[in-house]
Amino acid sequence: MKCKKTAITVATILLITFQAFCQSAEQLAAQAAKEYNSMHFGEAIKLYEKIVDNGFESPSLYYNLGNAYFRNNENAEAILYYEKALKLAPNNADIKHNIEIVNNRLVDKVEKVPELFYKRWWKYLVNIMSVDAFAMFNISLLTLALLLFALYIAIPALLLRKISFWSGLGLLFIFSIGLVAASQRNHYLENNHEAIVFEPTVNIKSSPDENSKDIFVLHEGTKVTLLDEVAEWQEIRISNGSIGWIKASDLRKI
Amino acid sequence: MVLNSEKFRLKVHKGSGSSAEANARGEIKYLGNDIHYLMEPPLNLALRGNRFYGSTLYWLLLLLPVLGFVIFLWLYRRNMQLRGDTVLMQRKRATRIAVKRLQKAKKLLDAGQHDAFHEEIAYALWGYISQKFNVPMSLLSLDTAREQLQSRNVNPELTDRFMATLNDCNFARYAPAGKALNMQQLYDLAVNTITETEQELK
Repeated sequence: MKCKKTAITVATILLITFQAFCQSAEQLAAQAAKEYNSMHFGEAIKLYEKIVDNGFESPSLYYNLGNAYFRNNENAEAILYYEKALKLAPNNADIKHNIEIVNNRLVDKVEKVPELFYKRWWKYLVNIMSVDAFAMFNISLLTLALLLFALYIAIPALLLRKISFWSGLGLLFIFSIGLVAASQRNHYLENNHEAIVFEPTVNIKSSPDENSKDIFVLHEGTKVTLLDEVAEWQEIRISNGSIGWIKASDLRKI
Repeated sequence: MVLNSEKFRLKVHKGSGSSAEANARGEIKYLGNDIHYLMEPPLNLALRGNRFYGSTLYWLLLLLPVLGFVIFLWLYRRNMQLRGDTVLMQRKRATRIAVKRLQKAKKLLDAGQHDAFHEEIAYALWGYISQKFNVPMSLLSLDTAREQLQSRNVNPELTDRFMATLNDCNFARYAPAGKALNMQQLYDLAVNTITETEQELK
């Protein structure tokens, strides 16, 4: 009993501290927005970065930080944070728009290889919800499907049995898709699949070796997909499909 | 008559080259583009790496309905078994009770107690059908009894005999003594039909 009381007290204190923590972070964000509005973009960046350093993330935080960097004429950083925001909220129109704007100011104009239609569809499906929304969705689907199966077992009426069986099976099917989609999205979020070039000009090599042949040149702000890693070298692919090696220190992961 | 007025000199200047109507529905001209403004607070901040997906709570919540379903299945099966058992028990009891009643009838026969004997034989036959086929006494009639026997694939000849015995029994109960079958005959008939039905149902 005493133990339970202590646990509740501790939990309450933790909750209050956490709330205060979040509140102070929100206050910092409000301050940063004020600095941004009075054109003190450097100050805004410092404040937003402080929130990030405190361990927070959210699409709007990264987006606002990207805006501050853009106004401060730091395009690579702006792209980096916009992409971080997009990773959390892949369907957000504001983020997409701003990425487009910054991309127009970058040196490298890389043409995108169009994706196959089913890959596009699947991507759309995976991005339809946040991971946590998927998690809740899956739990409710499974519960509903099993309830329907229970109904199917317990009900004697033939028509109801048929309906509950097939709808239960349908829900179970959607549940399995949701499970795969959620795990893919989670994997994408947990791992660094993409990076931004942070050097003004880099020669991309044919192999992880300083003396190997230069294949093409990339400039600051270009987004690359990460492939293999050998020592301090990173194999990359750009969106037109070209592949090469770059020093990992020239990149910052999204 | 013609009146001549002074000359009007008209001077037409070159227009802007487009009608007013065309002007009103022109393409929007973009002067430049810029990033969209900051997102408004609250920023819905969350701690990095602190996701519901993949947490212990998530897996527990996912496991809960499965567990519930397994418990439901177990309870349901046990319930069915229990119900099945009571029906089975009743069937077994049906035979035992019929045997007991017939034994009692035999004693009454020996004692020569007319009314009590007939009553006991009737109880034995009707009770047997009621409990064997799980039909309440109040719903039993000659027709329903026949239906039950037929639905259990008891052979028609035996079914007829069962019906005849029931009939005889009723007749003997209410008809004046002497006109009906004598008590010994009725007793033998009852024992035989129940025994044979019992064998058929096995």
